[in-house]
Amino acid sequence: MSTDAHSAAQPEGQPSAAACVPWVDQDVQQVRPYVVVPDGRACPRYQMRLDTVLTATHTTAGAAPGTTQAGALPPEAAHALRLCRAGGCSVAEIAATIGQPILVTKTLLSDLIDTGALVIAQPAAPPDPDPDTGRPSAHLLQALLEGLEAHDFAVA
Amino acid sequence: MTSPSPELEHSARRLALKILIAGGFGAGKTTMVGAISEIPPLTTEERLTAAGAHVDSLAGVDGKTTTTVTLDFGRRTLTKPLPMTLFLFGTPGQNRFDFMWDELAHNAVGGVVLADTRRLADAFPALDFFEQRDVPFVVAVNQFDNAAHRYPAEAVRQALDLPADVPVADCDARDARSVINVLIILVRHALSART
Repeated sequence: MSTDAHSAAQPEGQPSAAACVPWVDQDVQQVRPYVVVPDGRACPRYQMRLDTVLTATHTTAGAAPGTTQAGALPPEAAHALRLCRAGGCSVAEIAATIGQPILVTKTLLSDLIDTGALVIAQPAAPPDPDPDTGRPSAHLLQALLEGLEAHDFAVA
Repeated sequence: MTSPSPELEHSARRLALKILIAGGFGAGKTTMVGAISEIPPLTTEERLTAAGAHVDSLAGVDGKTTTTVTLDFGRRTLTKPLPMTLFLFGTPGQNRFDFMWDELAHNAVGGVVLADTRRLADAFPALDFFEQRDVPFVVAVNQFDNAAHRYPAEAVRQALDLPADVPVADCDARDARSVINVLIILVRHALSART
């Protein structure tokens, strides 16, 4: 704020060197979450976890980004939608790529689900989980073990 | 509501599994995620504020109005024997972020506690978390270049007071083969816990 006051105090037409320095502040540059999410809501309406995968639906698959709602999509939502077109994307990956907090991302994704542009991929979680712990079945763990052992990570 | 196109559906319906990588600040979590991720490791920063206290539980951080929690994310696609996607989450493992840990731990294969022998105590919150929630875990001792701080796995086991059945492995978080070896040990451990 001090920079603001300083520049305001400068007589017009005689900007000092200090007044020409752009006021750069991380917090100010960032668009506030309540602007990103229409109506300022902060409550996702669908149950999603960080590893929940979402995919774009037929309705928008062939359309240009953000055209379902005729350009009404916030840029972040349009970005999220593009990510989900490429074969599905997890909530964590979407949040990191569009640079928004998880909760804001989930709220945006909920909106997109409401419009029918996105669906939560089923199953996002492993099937036949262990009935006691809810964790992946022994069968699935065995498959993962074989997959890890067979995978050539030298190319990574 | 329409359904995804067949080709999208195919990739989206791949089995999804997740492994958590926890450890103190600077233990090498991001490096480890990056070593085996097929995408550059992504980091999300969650800023928890007092205003969001009703949604983001701030229990235990009394007097703190804002705090940041970072989460590393990576993924790896496996094709054999089943098409599956392995999600990797690197988390700071501090108790005060329990609400996020609970979400992460849900259905997880297990956890890797990445230990830095220079600051071994930093690993304790992650150990507590996995133990309390009965999540199978292994301890990976990241071998930094600094030879003065190398300790054998058994010494680390004693220092951390680990149960005998918890595997302790040396690793180089920068090396994909070394990291995958740790994951193989973890999955074997998770399997043995079942029988």
